[in-house]
Amino acid sequence: MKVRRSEIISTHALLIIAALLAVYPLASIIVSSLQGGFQNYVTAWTRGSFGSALISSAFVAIVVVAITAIVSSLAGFALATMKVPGGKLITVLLLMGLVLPYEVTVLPLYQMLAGWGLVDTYWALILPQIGLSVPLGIFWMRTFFASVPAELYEAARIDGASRLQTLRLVLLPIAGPAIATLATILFLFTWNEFLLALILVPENQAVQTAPLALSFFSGTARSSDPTVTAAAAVLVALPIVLAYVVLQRRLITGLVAGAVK
Amino acid sequence: MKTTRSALRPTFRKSAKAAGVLATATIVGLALASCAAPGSGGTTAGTTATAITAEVTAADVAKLGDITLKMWADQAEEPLMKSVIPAFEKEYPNVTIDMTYKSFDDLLATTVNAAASASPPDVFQGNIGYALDGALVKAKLVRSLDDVADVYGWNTGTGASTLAPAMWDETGTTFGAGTLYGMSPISEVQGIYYNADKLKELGITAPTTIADLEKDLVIAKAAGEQPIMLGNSDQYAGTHIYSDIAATTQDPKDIATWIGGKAGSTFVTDGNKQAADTMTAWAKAGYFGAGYDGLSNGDAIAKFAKGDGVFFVGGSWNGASLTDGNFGFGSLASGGVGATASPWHISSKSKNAVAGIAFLAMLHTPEVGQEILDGGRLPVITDGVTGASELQTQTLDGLKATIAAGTQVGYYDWTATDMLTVMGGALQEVMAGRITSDEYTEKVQAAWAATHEAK
Amino acid sequence: MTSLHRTADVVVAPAGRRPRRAWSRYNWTSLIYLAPALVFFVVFVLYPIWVSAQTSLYVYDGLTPSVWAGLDNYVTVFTDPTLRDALLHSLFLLIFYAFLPVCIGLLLAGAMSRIRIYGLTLFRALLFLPQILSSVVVAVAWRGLLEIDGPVNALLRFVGLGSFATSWLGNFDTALPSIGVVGTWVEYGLCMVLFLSGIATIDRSLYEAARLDGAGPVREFFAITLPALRPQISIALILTITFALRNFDLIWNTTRGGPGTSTTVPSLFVYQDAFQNRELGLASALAIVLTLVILVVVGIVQWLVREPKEVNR
Repeated sequence: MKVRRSEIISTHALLIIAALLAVYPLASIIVSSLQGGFQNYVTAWTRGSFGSALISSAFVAIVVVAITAIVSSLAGFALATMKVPGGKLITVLLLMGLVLPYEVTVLPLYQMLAGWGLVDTYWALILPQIGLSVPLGIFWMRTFFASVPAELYEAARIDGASRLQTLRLVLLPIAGPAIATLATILFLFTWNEFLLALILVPENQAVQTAPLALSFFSGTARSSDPTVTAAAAVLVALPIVLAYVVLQRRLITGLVAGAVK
Repeated sequence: MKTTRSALRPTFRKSAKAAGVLATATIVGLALASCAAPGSGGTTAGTTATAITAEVTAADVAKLGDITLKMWADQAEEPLMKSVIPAFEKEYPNVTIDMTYKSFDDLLATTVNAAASASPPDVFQGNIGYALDGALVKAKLVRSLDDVADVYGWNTGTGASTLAPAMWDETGTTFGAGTLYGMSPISEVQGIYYNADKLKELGITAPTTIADLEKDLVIAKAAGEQPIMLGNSDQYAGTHIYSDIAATTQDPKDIATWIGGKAGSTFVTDGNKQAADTMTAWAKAGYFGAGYDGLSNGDAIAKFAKGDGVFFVGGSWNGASLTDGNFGFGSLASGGVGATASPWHISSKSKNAVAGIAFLAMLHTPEVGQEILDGGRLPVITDGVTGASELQTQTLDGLKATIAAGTQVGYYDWTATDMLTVMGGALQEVMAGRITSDEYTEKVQAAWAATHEAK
Repeated sequence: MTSLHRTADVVVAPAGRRPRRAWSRYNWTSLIYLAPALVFFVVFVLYPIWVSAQTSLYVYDGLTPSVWAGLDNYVTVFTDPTLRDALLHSLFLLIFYAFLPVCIGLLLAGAMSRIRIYGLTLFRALLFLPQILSSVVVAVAWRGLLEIDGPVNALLRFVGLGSFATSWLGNFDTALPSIGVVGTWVEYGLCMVLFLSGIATIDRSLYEAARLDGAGPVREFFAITLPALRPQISIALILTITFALRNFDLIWNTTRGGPGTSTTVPSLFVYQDAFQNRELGLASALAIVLTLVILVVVGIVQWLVREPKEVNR
């Protein structure tokens, strides 16, 4: 189909502007942080103990993703292939879980975890986030298992495989991409989670995650150079951005494909 | 390729019924569950402590064995703690101090919860007033310090008058008298910092009254300088300037009693309205510069230290940042906010209270007082302490004068948990001309009444 | 920002796909498979919601025993002017967080649907970048941009609009819209990417046919592109609206509700009432109301963007 050349140019120009706008804020703090060389990064690193914060974030995210993936696969498999008693009710509750604001859970979570002596520990961050990630995980895996051709199930059944064996030996090997995409998405959310960290890990610096550490740092250290704060922000953003560069294709196509389905 | 979004709708319709049932069940359940009210699971208070009768010695502390003393402090204490902690650990070698620093906001938000938790800090800073100390006392989370004050003679000497704000009645509803629950070694006075070089250029001398200041502001503005450096995004810096003006339009004692929560006192006075109008006039005339609501107090003092602005109105804790350059301090004997800084408390649940007492006793000495002064802040013990620089001596003299005049009123946020945000926010609005000074005083009074008249 | 994609990206599988089973009764062993996940969900999500609902009926300071309050807290939520203002602010932000990004996304995607884009992958990656940044990083970056001496004001002065330069986050009139602009920035890339993927699935022949009929680009857009994007629009609206109504992180790390009370939002008060004012009952009531509002709005969006009766395509 013929399209005018001017339209091609103007559309690309529009795109370029949109892309530049999207990138500019990140670019500006990178530029700000580099004023005076890398000194700001050293200052930020040592004063804000971002090393331990990044490790905490990674640890929490990995554990949450791993456990969520496992329990979601089991649950999604069940919902996709079996008639679950109360299945509709469960689905409704999980749908609610997808949209609800964390604010309605944090206060009781604090009391509950304080009662168990878990506030300011890694578990304070891990356990609730598994619970909050489960709705997405279950729906994701359910869609996957439901999209597997019926013939595959039939073939396994004819071969005499039990349900569990079907899951283990037939489905999981092909679930790789789906699980990988889910893992990427969950990792991103868990890493960036702020409110839960603020309330459930208020004092233990060793356990605090990177976004929380950055918030405290930029709040208390406001009287210092804004360039140091910028360096701290870049430090916190860097791991995710690097991972994003590598995984963006998977992330975007996976997310969007899930939405389309 | 058709998209199958519509498949979700039937599920929703059928599930709407299920949701309806669920909702009804929940409501019924809630009603039934009303017997299991939240917070009914016993108190979180500690046991009554044994009073001390003599000063704590190293041997007493050594009896505790190797212990770690868990402490929380405001970020601003770090410089002082850097020298106090090693000295303490040297004198009491079996004790290791584990200190966590928090910003003021975070301290306010997290201390009470921490004190009530299963493993509270042994020694921690609170904040005078209902928000923090009031809650702590009410829930019996802090140890009484009457015995300590008696043994160590805190009730005599220059620090005596500063103990009052940390005294509470039995129920934790009024402060100013009663049992002592906290001790603050640091005092604060409000005043006007000035850039000495700029004053010289402008040909004016340091102001000692608000009236003087007002004249100087006009001169500074005409010369193209920013008269007052203000950073009000945190909403409290403005209230401090306000209080200085308010202390000249009414009897400072009235302000103090209002802050203390005395029944029948009110904020809706001509003096307060007048002070608000003055703030509005100054803002309009540009004396605070542009964009002060977007600047934090920390950024403002940093700018002032670098030579931006002629005056900085604020508390003596800001002095720590003004080490380079030629700065002076003029206190306003007419009074204004000011009092002791955040008091230290000992948890009522601490097993290491003896070591905590030793720590507090160490803070309340002239030696530490000197270190406090050296660090740019003001000690409660003003005897036996000398300033090292002109600025320090001026500030110390200012403190002595204000205490002598009895015009320190405390801080507005002491009087209600949300007073800082209500008053700070309302002051921003009146300064910007968005509300009238009548509305401003009424808003503040409403918040005060909600705390003091509802009980 | 994390809640964005937690809504129904995925859908019940079409009935035809469900594998046949020899037994038609309920399968009780399935509950064993569901148990681990549901345990986490019930203990750490449903139970806390229940407790919140319970707490909302009391006056409770977290330390001393609570006092029954019935529906008093809910009355306060709806009648207290500061809380009402917070809710209005949230609704105002909906324009910036949801409406604008969806429109911008549609516009850009629509323009891109007609031609082949060079470097599509790169553009997509760049446009999606705001979504992956932590909200704290976004707050720090934008605080710097909107400062009185920041790049935005510098640009304004450069093009001669210096009279508009102000402390964007410190000015009563501009603070909330500035937060809105940040929200638009965060969301428009997501919308664009969503819509692009949707467009990619549209049958090209439909466009050919339309073009033969003499339709111009605008007609094409409204007759073909828009209807086909119905599912994506629904998703985009749900994601962005949920983000707008929650919105604690960004406010907390930029203005904390200031100047004055011009940028307060409900979730900020949930935190303040709980941790500053020690009014856990009121905070819980506010959180419950917030949840209900979100559920209602999501329901409305679902209904509005529903598929019309199936017509022969």
